[in-house]
Amino acid sequence: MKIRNSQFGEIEFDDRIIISFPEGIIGFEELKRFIIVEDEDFKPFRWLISVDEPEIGFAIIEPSLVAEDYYNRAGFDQKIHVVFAIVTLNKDVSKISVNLKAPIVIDRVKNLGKQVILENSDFEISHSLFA
Amino acid sequence: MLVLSRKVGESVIIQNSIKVTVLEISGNQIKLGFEAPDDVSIYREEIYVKVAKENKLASGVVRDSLKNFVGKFRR
Repeated sequence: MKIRNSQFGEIEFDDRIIISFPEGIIGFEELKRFIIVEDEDFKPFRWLISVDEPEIGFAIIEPSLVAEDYYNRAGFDQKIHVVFAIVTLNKDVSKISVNLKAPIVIDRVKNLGKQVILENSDFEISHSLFA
Repeated sequence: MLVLSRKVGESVIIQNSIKVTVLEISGNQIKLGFEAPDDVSIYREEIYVKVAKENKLASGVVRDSLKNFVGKFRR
């Protein structure tokens, strides 16, 4: 399948990499299919891009790079789940933040994704990367 | 909006599989208990709204704005 994004140009991929989000992403409930795009230039960041609306995309990062022992503290099993945190970019680097409170959780086996809010945790929605 | 009166210890059932029970009332605060299948998301509304707002902000990414930042993060 091919999609076009004004920033990435044309992206061609095997349909099998499409991750289904039955509930969408919070605030984007109508978007049910996403792909993760690796980006050599921007490692360790990746992009989560909507297949249905390719102009909608998020920078994502493995939360364990930001918060130590994240999987354990957040109660995810690394054998089953792949977890990413959405990054809110800003031209002012000091304002760039990561959403550790509501990670994107992907079930590796079922290839299903969901944004989960960790209700009873101390993680922040807007965790500064350079604080 | 459907309005139902419940006493402490009483519940409502939603869609045959979700049970919401009034556990405790003290002053103007009510403690609710939820029993639902694992795939049902239950969130406090104000947190949900905050996350939606943050997602809207994050979705407007400009790929190049990450450029200056990546070097800084790797360091």
